[in-house]
Amino acid sequence: MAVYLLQRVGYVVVVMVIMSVLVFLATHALPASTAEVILGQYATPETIAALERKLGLTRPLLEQYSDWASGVLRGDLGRSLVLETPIAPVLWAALGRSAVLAISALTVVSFLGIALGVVAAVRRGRLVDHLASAFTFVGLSVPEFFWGLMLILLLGSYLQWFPTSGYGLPDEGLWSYASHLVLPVMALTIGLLAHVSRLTRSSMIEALDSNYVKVARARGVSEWTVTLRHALRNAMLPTITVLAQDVGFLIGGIVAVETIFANPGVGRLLVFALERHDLPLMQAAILVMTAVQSLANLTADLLYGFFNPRIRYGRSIA
Amino acid sequence: MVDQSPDDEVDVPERRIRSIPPRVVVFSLLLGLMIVAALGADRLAPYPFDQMHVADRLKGPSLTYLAGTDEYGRDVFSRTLYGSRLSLSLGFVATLIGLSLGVPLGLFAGYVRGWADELLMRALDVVMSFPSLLLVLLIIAVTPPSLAKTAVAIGILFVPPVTRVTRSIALDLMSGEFILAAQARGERVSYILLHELLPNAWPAIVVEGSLRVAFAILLGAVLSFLGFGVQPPAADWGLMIATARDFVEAAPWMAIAPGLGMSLTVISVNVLGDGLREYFDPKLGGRR
Repeated sequence: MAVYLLQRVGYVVVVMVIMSVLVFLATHALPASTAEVILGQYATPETIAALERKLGLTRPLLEQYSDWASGVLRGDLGRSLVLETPIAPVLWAALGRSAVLAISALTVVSFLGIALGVVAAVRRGRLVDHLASAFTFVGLSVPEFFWGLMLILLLGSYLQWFPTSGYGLPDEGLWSYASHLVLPVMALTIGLLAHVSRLTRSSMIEALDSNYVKVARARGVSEWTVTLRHALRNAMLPTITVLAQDVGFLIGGIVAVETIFANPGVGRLLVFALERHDLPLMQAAILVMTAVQSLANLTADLLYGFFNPRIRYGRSIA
Repeated sequence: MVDQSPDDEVDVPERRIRSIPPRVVVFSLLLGLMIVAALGADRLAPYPFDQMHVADRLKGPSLTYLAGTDEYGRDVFSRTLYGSRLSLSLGFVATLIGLSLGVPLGLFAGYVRGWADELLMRALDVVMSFPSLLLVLLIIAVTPPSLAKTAVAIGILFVPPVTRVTRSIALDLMSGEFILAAQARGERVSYILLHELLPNAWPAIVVEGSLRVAFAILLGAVLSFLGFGVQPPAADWGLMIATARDFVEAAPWMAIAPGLGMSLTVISVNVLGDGLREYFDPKLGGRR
């Protein structure tokens, strides 16, 4: 297990280094240089050149990268050009708000998705299964932002049950805080729910047809116990991996969902940075989101290894 | 005994001629309709997509404006029809880019195996560890947005998964005797890849491709929704929905019409892809 652990952690480190180089290079390929963005309409070739020298943008790329990277490692993400403040505090606050959304969505998806998958597998070919399968296609085919808008229309402006934008401040009470989360979390949940329930269904069907389940049934173990203790426990393995994969989808989804619900999380911060060509903010936001995804992948790999001893000696995890 | 799953039947040739599930037929027709709408938008749309009827702003659906009008008095139905053109061409072009790079890479990796294959797969793993939306944003945000650039960015994003799928099929096929026979005949590598591996890998590639089309349409919609894809005044579904956010109470049809167009298109492509998968390989039917 120690070798496996080191391997996976090492892999994440390599991925992060490559990502940081990519992010750094991509933002340096921008047509408008950082100096031009800062100077805006007052830019003249002379002032641009002067500011570039002052900001150290004329130095070799490698030197700039190592400066930036060592700053990031020390927790210094640089200064935002548009906000004109250090990035780190802004980004951590936004990341916290996004994490609340993401964790709520993942929790709902884990419970509901697995439950739905199990029910569909047990009642295979029945009405429930067909409904679940129809839901799967719809869930996977409609993007989060359209769900978001439909939820705003139905539960927000028509029924007026939940607020449709912004987020609740902690001092406005728990209900205000929670009610602002309901619609974004629902919008994030639907697609992932389809994904998870579909996978759980197919691995449950496989497990329910397996010999150990047949033996358990033959021993007279109750159907309830067979389903939950024998089949589900084994069917969970692929679900764990897919949940981690879904963190990637969630990161994509959160950008759109935060935009539509005006939730000031890291996704909205990234859109803001991209719109205003705020390079340092853009770099920091993308890097942090990539790090989150890498950590999610790592967690999945470790859980997978923990639950499945065979994998520890395998070469790759598909 | 528990109920026998249909997959347990062995006579594979029988399965090839079994009837196509009704939902596949229905959604294929729907997709066909969408393609017709995309090709014939100029003739089918009641109004040009950018024609403004200033007196009829934010009007609800009626016989004159089938899906109402938007904040400039443009016909939402016509714009939705035109939107299918942008979305479908983005979906197909991006997928073609992904396939044209990923399929040869995958066939090659599966054929040579060894260190070259290992190196390629590790490199692709790294790219795939990047959240897909962020990767595309990174590619297109650095220069002014355009439809062609979005298609290229999404196409590049598709290379790693397509390569993986193709490689795993190629690896499977490599154990076949027909490959051994071709090698024994002294055929060139390019011949084996193109004439032995590719024809046999084709069904799985088509299935993968169809799912990619759906994904590309969704991703393109998200990008233009965020403002980094197609730019106004183009009639794009994502863009229309983004504008509709500000008028959701006054004019919900502004969001519903393009949303419905997009959802039905993507559902059709997904159902079709799933149907193809079951058709080519009944055993895979319930997976994924």
